[in-house]
Amino acid sequence: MPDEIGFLVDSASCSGCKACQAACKDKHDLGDGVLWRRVYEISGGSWRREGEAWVPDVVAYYLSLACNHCEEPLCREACPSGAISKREDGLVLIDKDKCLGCRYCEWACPYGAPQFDPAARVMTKCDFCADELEQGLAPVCVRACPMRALDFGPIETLRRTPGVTADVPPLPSSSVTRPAVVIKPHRDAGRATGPASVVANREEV
Amino acid sequence: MNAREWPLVLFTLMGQAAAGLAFFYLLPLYSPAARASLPQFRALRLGAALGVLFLSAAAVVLSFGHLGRIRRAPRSVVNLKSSWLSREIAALVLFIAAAAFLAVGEWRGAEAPVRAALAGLTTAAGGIFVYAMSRLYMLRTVPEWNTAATPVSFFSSAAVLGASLASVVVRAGHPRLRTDLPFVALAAMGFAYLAAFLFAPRFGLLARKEASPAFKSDPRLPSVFAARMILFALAILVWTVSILRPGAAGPAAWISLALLLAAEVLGRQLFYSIPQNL
Repeated sequence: MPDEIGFLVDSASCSGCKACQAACKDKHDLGDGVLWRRVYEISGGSWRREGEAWVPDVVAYYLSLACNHCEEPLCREACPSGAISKREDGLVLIDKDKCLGCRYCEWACPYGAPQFDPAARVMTKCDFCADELEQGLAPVCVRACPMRALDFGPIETLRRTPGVTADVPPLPSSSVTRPAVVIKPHRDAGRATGPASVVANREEV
Repeated sequence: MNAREWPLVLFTLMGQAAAGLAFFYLLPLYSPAARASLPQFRALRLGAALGVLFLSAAAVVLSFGHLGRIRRAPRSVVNLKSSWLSREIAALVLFIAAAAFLAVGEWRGAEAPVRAALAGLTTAAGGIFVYAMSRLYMLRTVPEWNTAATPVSFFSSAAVLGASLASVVVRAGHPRLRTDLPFVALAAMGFAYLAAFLFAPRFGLLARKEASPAFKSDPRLPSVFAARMILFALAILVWTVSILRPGAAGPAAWISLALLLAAEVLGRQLFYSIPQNL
């Protein structure tokens, strides 16, 4: 059985330029409102008292996320038509010819990965650029990143990378779906757990 | 709530009403106690079966509005192994089929045990349908939905809608049901009102700290919840008046039903506002 593959996201290096997002949208010719890879801007914080002074205590960082091709994909479990399958190499794929467009997978996925294509009237999502992989190439998002903040490979190998985790705010606990993604958290990520930390660019993603 | 959820709002309302009508109106017509020798009794049973059939079939038609590809709707029962949505649709198909066979059986004068069995099957399928409907919302990734409050609220809505519809619209032709159903509906309303408070903490109305992210991000939603509870309380009040003052029974019961439906629609607007994935 081949190793399951996954993504590595170096949030500490990500500058939020969205080159990955644009490359993905361009390659897959995605229509309005459909983003298989999204760059989230997480920000928050407050004021902290230091002696007689109030100083800003803020956090801000970026998270580039696509489908995490989970080991236990809740989208596949929820799909009534059997349109979602998981391959031996770990890729979770949607068969557009079987999809009803009921959008139940959209509710089931905590990462917002399955997205409704208004033109095709079915669900779509990141396919890890399976065609590129077959040619021995990296997914276009990985190739487009100017900061080398994205990488991919066998997920078990990636999980052994020092300093990585799959639990970074505001992501849900990785125990829910066991996502095939590891993240090098930004130094501020540990402080972004308060209620003031939000996705600041909700309109863009 | 997105406009695209409206078909689901109507589907759940009609489906729950059909299941409630089967339990509170159709099934009692087959009980030994109800077998009075009324000349119109067979017509009553046929009417009840057709009422359940109409509501459940209308629910299916309305649910198509939620699908991107309607022609692929038959595929919705493919994944019975793990999808509660598949199970819900399978239960709904069984519910409709049983109600249709029952209507045909009543029309053609089938044997009494066959018709009684079909009535039982229809009611059981309706119950399974409402249960599956509630389970499909109990997603691990939506903790606000993934509680016992979801099936409780779905079944209480089915009870309220079924009993009140039977009392007002069908007018419960059987004398015993005509007397009892308004009180059954009132009890169901009281229970459903209390059940609605099970969701209250999530709306930030009772405990702001426990409010779901959706309700923290949309300050209008607690007001919608408050409006829902006020409409629901008014519906109960007017229904009580309609029972206590038989002269005003007709108009008051209709007004109460309208208030009730408005409260249910608001409740579903809140419900579908909850999920917020990344």
